Amino acid sequence: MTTSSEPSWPRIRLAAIPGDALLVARGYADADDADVALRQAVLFRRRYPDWGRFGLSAFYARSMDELLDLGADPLERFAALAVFGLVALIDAGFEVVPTFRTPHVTIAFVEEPALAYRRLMDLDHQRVVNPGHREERR
Amino acid sequence: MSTVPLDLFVDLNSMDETGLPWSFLDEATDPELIVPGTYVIVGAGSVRAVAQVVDITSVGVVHVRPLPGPPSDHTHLLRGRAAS
Repeated sequence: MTTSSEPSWPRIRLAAIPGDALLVARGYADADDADVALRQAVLFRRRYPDWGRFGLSAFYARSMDELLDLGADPLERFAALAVFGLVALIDAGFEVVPTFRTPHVTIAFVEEPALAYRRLMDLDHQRVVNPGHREERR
Repeated sequence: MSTVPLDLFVDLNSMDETGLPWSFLDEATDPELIVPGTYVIVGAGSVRAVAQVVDITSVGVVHVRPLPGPPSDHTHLLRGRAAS
C-alpha cells in the first residue's frame, strides 16, 4: 500500500499535556543512545521540514505506575528508560510538544543535535531499569 | 542487548500520525527487503524487534508494527534469516 498525502508538520494535539504529567520518558539504548538520538533527530527534521525543529520522541507519565505501563508498551524493547522532569526540560529550553497520539510528546529543539543531546543528558534525570523488557535468550 | 543485523533503522521510541514507529526507506540495509506485509528486523543501537512492514508512503516513509518480545520469538517469520 502506498499513501500520498504527507504532512510537513507533525500533528500537534489540541489537548495540552496534563498539568500533573511530571515525567517524560524515552527508551534508552545504552552506549549507542547518542548515535541513535542524533540520527533520529535529523530524520524527524527531514520528515517535517516546515516545522523547523529537530525532534526526539518521548512519552509523558503522571506517576511511576504510568511509567511502568510505558515500559510494558510501547517501550518494552528498551532495557532502560531515561526519565526526565517535564519542568526541567522546559526550563532548559527544550520544547515538549504533545504530538501524535497520547501520551506521545516530541522533545523539540533548533540547535545542532549533538549539542542538544549533550545538554539533554546533562540534565538531572534517572535511568530506570525497565521491568517490562524481556531480554533475548542466550 | 543484541547484535542481530538490522534490516531497517527505526528508533523504537518514534511515532507519527499513524501511531506507529517509522523510518525512511533509504535507512534500510537493503531497500528491496522492505515490502508491505513482510517481517524484518528493525531497531537502532543495540535495540531490536521483529516488525511487520505496514506501508511505504510516496516520499519513502516506512511504517512498521513491531511484534512483542525479543526477535528470537519470531524467527519463523523472517524467511530463513537468523534472529538470534
